[in-house]
Amino acid sequence: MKNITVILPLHKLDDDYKVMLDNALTSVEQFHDDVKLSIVCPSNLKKELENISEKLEIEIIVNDGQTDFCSQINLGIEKCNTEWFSILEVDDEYKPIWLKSINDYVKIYKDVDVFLPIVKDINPEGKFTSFTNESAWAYGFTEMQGFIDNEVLLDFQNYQISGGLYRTKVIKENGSLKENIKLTFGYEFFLRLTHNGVRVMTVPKVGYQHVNMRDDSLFWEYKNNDSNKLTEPEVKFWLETAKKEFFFKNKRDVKYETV
Amino acid sequence: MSNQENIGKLESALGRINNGDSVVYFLTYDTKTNARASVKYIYDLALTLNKNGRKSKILVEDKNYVGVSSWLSEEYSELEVVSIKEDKIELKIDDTLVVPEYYANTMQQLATIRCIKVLLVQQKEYLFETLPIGSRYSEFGFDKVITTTESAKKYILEYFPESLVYVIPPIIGDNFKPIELPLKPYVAISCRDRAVHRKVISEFYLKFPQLRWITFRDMVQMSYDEFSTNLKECMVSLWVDDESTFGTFPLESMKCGVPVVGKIPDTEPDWLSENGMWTYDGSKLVELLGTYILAWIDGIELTQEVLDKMKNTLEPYDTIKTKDNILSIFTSIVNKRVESIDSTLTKLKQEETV
Repeated sequence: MKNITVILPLHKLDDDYKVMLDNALTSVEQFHDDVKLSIVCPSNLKKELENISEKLEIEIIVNDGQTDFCSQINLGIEKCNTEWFSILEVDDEYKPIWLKSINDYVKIYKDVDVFLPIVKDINPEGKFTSFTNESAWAYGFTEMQGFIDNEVLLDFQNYQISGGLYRTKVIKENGSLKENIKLTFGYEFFLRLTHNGVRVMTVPKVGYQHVNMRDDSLFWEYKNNDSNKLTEPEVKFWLETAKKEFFFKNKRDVKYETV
Repeated sequence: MSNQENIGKLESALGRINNGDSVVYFLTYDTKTNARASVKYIYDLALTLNKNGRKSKILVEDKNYVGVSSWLSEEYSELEVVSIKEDKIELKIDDTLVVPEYYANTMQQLATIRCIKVLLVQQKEYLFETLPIGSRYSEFGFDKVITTTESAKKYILEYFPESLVYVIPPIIGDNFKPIELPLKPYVAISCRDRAVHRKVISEFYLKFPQLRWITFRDMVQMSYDEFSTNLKECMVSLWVDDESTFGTFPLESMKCGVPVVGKIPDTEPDWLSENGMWTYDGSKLVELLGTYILAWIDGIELTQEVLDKMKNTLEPYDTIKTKDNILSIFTSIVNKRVESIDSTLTKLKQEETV
């Protein structure tokens, strides 16, 4: 019985994306006995994605509305009927230890609803740049080593939502990603979860590899694309917005203004 | 003293031995609430004997002795503590006095006392520290030695070949056992030298800045139970102790299933094999540690071969075996005294009949 759904949002499928998707799927295939895959995509990609993997049980969820990252994830969560789900970005991959290491903790920490792996960040050339999520284990950083709490999050934003394992029911109860929050939607999500008492833990094993600043990725656009580039005051605005909005389960109108 | 008086004294000594009234005194130093493996070793010897019908007492300098209750468990409190100054102990010929090398300076004063005298050598480096140059411990009646390793025994026999040397390794307590929970990204660090301790941690964080979130657990100032509880959740142990004779810390780690990165001490421990990540070169430690930690967070586990070697290393130090060893060695020491008393008695009685 598969009790984990991997949600993979996809908005296009050109040649480069096909290579990335193939790599991402290969990393999921190693867990095919325990995991099924939901690809959330526009209808024009559906046909091409059918029979994309022989090993995996795949559901194609067509999103004809918003095809931004958050909306696609949210649709995946809405349709998810397994106990747990995870988020996989098309240019990322799970490491072989991901499932085993997280399961070792799931079995023991029954009251934890979110398990984050240590994320290995690499640059587009494949070189290691840093780890993410690991700081939860730094001595004196959080109240309880290994766990992320709301107080710490108010001062430190660098946690990665992709690759984590989330208890579906708990996320549905607490609300999913807010697509109207630019840049800091993941930060707001974690603030909200921890504020509502959801226990979030980092598993001290590298379970996920994330490509930082790939050309045309969302965060690359925020930094480099003239039409989408965020200025420093804007970055500050979105950080402050996350800190204000996490009290609310659902998205509210965000009036964008910077001083 | 007449022969009759001597015969009387010797017969009552034999009687005390037979009745279990003879006492084994363990001269012990005060660690002032600090946990010390060397003192635990002494308490373990005493407790094992006491629990098996051989009366044992802890002998201390004076009543200011703080004791071990803050770091050793309740069961050790059954051992009576007596002081040299206030209790004015009278050592009889059937009593045994065990003196650690730390107190070797007292041996000249103890030379005239006729009890069974045993030198306890845990740190062979200190053997000559207070011994007058060119002297032998046997000159002061210390011809029996207990030490912790075969290599220390060899060393002692090289310089004091007249000694009867027994090997009793420390007891690696059964509270050292693997935990059910996954190990945590902590390094249990044990360095004799605090400067080395600081240097290793600093070097590690500078050389592996991506691992700055790894915690070093300083394994000092803990009770024995806290020590084992803290040790068993660490993913790796780091051990630097050039002067170590036995090396209790690595074995405690192995018993917890925690692998060891360590610098091989000046005297190689008896148990050293491919049961850990060892180096003779202290400058390689940080590299070894970082490499292991990076592998660990990547999910690379120790091979079964290494795990088996860690397990096999511990076999000779099984608690029951060590306790049996303690009992049989002290029985043998006392039996030698019984033989000697018997032979003196026979001689005296023959003289009486003539």
